Amino acid sequence: MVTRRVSLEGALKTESCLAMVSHFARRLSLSSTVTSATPSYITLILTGDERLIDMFEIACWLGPDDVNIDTITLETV
Amino acid sequence: MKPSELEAGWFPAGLQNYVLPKTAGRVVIADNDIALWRGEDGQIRAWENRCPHRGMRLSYGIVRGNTLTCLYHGWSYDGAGACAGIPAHPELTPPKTIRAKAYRAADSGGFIWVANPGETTAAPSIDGDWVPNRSVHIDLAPTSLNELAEGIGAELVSKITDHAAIVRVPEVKGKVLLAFLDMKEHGAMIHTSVPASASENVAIAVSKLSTRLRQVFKASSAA
Amino acid sequence: MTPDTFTRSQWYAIGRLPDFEGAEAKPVRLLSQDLTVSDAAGVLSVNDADGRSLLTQIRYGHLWTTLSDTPRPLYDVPEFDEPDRRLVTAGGVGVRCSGLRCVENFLDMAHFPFVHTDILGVEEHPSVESYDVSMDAEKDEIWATKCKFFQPMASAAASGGQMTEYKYRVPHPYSTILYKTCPIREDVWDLVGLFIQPVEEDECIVHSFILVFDEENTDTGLLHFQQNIFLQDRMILENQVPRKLPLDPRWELPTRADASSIAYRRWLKANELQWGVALFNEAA
Repeated sequence: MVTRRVSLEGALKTESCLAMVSHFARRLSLSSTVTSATPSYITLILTGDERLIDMFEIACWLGPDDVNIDTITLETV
Repeated sequence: MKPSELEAGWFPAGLQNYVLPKTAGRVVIADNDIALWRGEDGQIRAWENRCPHRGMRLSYGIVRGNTLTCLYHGWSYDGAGACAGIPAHPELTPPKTIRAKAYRAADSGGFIWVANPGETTAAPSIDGDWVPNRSVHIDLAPTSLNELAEGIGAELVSKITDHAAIVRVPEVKGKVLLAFLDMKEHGAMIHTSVPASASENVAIAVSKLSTRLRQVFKASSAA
Repeated sequence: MTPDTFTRSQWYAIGRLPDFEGAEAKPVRLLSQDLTVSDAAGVLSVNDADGRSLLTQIRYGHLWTTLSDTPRPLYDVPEFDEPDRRLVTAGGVGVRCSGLRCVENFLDMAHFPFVHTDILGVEEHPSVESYDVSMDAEKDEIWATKCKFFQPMASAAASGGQMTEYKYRVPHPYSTILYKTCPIREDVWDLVGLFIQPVEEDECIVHSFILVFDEENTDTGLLHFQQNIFLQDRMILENQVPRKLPLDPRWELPTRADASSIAYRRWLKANELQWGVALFNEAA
């Protein structure tokens, strides 16, 4: 079990991205708390199996239909 | 993405022997593409026919023990639908939240029955021992059980669901379990079962009903 | 839907030269349009349904055409100019899914033990180690490098299992090339690739090729090896839902092994590709 701060940057359609983030946190059994959400920056704290957090990163990297995610960064918390 | 929903109730998806133990098959019910499979335990399962990984049809999957393995990347799922392994990442333990969407499924009266995951009623319970007889495709879906029965001159003895009933058919000794699966513009599948105690001649006579069914519910050539 | 600019501005292979020998308005379908190919004393021409003459070029063993008057230049594959490489082409094979799906399947290694059992992979070695994914910004191409997979029979020339190293290149939305360690020569790559002709948004014709150093096998032997693999993939491709390519991850659950496919989809999205895409909200 690990905790990571995940940051998404890009021209984010906040609603779509938040829906995507909560979708994958649920599917991967990760506990997640969104700590900031702006049109260009979303951060959240994720806790769970390290390998599942890795899957979360790959999944979210694509971004919803109407969004291009520029970068996803993970930091140890 | 809205999950597929069946109407309420139980649908006759096929004969019990349509899916043998340790095999998988497929049925489409009202645009719901469903993978049917039995483990070596003989238990029938009905899942959304789409692997949660990358969308490969699970009906092509391989059954091992009581798990279904997707043909594409080998993701395996236990009898309840939870992911049991991701071969590309052997060290990863998949959480149970990674799962195939499971419909309710049951064997009864010689048929496989399928319902929505949230279906609250019990699967049809049909008295006696029944043996699957035949499935036949007809061009025109009957609009009701009554229309189907009338088409072959059968008398309804007891209704099981809107799509299935125990009937008596002239020239056939004993009862017949008759069901239909509406495929809309693609016609319908008719399934029959006979009592386990029925003679070979009865089984053959019921099987031959398929000819009459196909004639009665034939698309007109003027169409 | 009419093709988006990125899709429309590309060159597309529509067949090999012998396929069009003596052709008289031979029909060919590309991007939902009916075209015709004609052979006038060895000179091939392509026309659209209005009789407009389209640009053509002959390259990499195939006839290429484009619907655009100002197409993007066709990408370079210098290995085609190297002497003593053998080029074997398979001809067009129809697949009932988006050509984008075919590219993505080609980039995937995790399916080797299950779809190409005992050829490209075995179940006992299913692990996909992390590999690198990068974009060549200047050429606008995607690369997956340092890919490794244990293979019992990596090519018609290889004997016995080996750890094969791969590089994958996507220089075009409907083209993909694999560079793999050559079993008989050091420091060179063998190439296998797909030139995909998108017929409809959910239908395509795949023109595959191999460009290898091989002294032992006949053309037929080399071809059969690759065709067998391709037909195994086709069975999967035609049973993947949806048939068009999703550009929203919520349809699926990718893992680190799927990084090349995610990079490919990101690249398509950045280029505003829309033709052949399955939209997430349309499923509702």
